[in-house]
Amino acid sequence: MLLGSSGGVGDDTRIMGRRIIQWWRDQPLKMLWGLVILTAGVVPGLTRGTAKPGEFYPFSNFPMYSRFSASTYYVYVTDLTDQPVAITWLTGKVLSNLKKQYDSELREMKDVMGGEARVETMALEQRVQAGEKVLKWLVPFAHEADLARLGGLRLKQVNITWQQGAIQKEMLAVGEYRVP
Amino acid sequence: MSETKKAGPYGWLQALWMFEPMRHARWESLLLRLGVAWIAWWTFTGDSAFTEQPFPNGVAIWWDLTWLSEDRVEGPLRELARWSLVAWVMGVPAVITLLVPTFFGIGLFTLKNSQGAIGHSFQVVHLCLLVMWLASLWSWIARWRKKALPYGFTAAQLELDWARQALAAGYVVSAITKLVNSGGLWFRDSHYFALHLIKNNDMKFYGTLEGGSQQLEWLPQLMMQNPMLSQLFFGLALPLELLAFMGCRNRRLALLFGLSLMAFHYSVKQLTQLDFALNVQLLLVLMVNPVWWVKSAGESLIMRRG
Repeated sequence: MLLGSSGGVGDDTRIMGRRIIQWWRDQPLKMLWGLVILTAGVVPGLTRGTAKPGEFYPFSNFPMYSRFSASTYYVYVTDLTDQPVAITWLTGKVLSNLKKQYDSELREMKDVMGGEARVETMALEQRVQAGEKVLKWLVPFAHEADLARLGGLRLKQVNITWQQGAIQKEMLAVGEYRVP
Repeated sequence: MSETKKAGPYGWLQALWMFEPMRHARWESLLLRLGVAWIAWWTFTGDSAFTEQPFPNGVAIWWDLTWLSEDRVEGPLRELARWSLVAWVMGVPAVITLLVPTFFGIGLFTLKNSQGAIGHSFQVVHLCLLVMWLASLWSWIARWRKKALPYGFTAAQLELDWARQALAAGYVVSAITKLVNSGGLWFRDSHYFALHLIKNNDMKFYGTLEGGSQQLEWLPQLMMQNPMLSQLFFGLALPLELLAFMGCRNRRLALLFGLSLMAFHYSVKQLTQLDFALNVQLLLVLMVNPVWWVKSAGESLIMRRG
């Protein structure tokens, strides 16, 4: 059959369609491949404009550790004399949650700024704004008496980079909360 | 002559790859349901106390789910979800008994994930509950239409089969995302994982100020100076995730992939302090299924002696 005549193309398309349907029917793991198509293709496509593309609970494309670069960072909490505070015991929250919260605040600021703004190159004052929002979110979860004894909390950002054949750490103060 | 010998020198490979639906006996289905229900049970303990959803995720984009966190709603629903799981284990159809655990669980954890931080620990449990509920619904529809379930499964077998597929799908998707997001350079850049190792270990330490967390301090520098080390580790992990679908083809591959993925999670936990305990437990129940292997080994031992 000649491709190019309209009937031929129609027949070929139908045959191809039937083959695809038959192939799909023969698949023993339809639920698995259906979920793979949904969570690796459809959900990331539909959520690409959101703050967390690929995430639509309980569907996720599991983006953690999906790309690596020569730098990363984390956050931790200190008291007002810069001594680390065991935030998990104080608030029940783990630091990875705080970091994700901080990331979300930075990303929201980036979206508001628009244009060429990038989270990685945000100015310190913007980081402080984001950090203070995170502390404000965190405080209601803290044990009141312990927080009062500390007098307040500070958020620190530690940048980790690979430079000149060595691992380097740089610490930034990115927010403070004082108990009223 | 055995089937393997008939099939030629690669017969064992064909036998390993062969698709054999896992038709669980009633006692086995009961034990597997008990295992899954035990894992899901712990997601219905505690108290959430979320009063807002500042970064809506999932259905929270359209609906305010904060009412789920109100004590008068959350408390009774947690209780109902737990008792529903008990009824499911006892054999009451999942389309009824998994309704509350599935949709209340998804709602509550959607609300949790709408606080700004997306967690990936519980998704696998709620995804398994969702597909099991759908399998039960499908079984009812098939019965109503007088059609048989695929591979002659019973409703209970179909539920467990779909749960296993959902568990494996998570690993396949994770591998695809790594390849797509890194533009295929995931292997090449994997030595930078050393920086994340420092990040995770430091965060664990600063979270609790317990000294044991700052272990393996020598490893990141070693990994950065010898990128091949990381690539060797990830060289095993990425294909393992990508090929996890094979673990649904038959019991032998389920055991192989179940144990391999559990070992993978264990090594990741040792390196990064990241604990995917629920994944490990589901792998143990749905993939490894040790009770069936112990029973089979016992039976073959008795037959040999007999």
